[in-house]
Amino acid sequence: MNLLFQRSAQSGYGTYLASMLIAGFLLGYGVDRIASTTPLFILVFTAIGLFGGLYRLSEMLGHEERQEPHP
Amino acid sequence: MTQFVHRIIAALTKPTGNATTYIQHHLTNLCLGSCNPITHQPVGFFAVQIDTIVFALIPILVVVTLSLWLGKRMSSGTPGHLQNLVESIVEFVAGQVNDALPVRDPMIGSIALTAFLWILLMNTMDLVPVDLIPTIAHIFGIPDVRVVPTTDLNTTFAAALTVFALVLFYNVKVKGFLGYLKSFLFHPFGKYLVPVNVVMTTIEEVAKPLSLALRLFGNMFAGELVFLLIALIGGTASIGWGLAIWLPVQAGLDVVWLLFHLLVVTLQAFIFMVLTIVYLAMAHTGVEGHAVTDVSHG
Repeated sequence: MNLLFQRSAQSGYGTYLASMLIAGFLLGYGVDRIASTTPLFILVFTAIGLFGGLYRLSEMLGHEERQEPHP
Repeated sequence: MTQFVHRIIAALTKPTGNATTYIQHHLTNLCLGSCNPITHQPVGFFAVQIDTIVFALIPILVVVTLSLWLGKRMSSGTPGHLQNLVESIVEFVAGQVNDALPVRDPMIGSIALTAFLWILLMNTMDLVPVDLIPTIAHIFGIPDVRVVPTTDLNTTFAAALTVFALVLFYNVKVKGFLGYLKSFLFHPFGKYLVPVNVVMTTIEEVAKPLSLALRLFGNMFAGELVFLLIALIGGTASIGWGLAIWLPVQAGLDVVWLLFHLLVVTLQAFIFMVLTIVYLAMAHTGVEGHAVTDVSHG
């Protein structure tokens, strides 16, 4: 895996967090529309999206820290 | 003929209103179908934004024509300038694909090349002066034109959803339908939190096309908007000695932003291609595959 490729893929980490949040909201909105339980799943799925995004982000960044330690 | 000249003069000297109407006018697509007759914004599902389609098709025509023309003149000896350029682009993309993919699949190479070239050329329309094509269109009686297709959310979402469909296709093809569903069960938190795992993996899958589409749209829209704001500097100054200050300021800022935007244009096309390759490579790894997922998740 060359460096340019790796850095470009990493440049999207910030957007990843936001997208997880939005995706959680959208999925929750969809489930709520079907089940007509309006605020419930939006809140739950958005929370899962937020914390899942943070968890995955810390996982990915932690992995890179271990791979290439700072001088 | 004289009528045409009058229209040109009218288009060049038309009062543009204030800054808000100028920007609103430049951010309005040429809408056909179920559109609002006053604001020209699409209101229903069957609203087609003609300018987006036309300006997205022009790059394809250019690339296809050039490729056909070049394909007849290929030489295995010393290549010409154009053949050199095309070969280096193809080799560059092929190198990225071969580095990331665990398998050889000629289809993915062409998908990546298409994504890179098409988005690069659509983004490059941003470097055309913001008022040039709308003014020319106004002469021919077309009220609204928005030149850069990637500043339209429809284009970026179409591209991202295509990638998403390909990701689903390759996941099912490699892992099988049940194998793909199984990857939803145990992924982040182990076997004791299966419902949370299912929800989170689903959110992750939906987040992929969302982040692809929103990143490209956001970067290109913001770039276009900054070009419009820079164009307003000289445009809103009153005629007089003040212009001697504001026009050089505008030209200087425009050049600086243009140079910076050249980087953004190329980089966004490249990132879109890289993430397409990464997502397709992830579809090729097993449920526990970590070899490629390390650099994933844009």
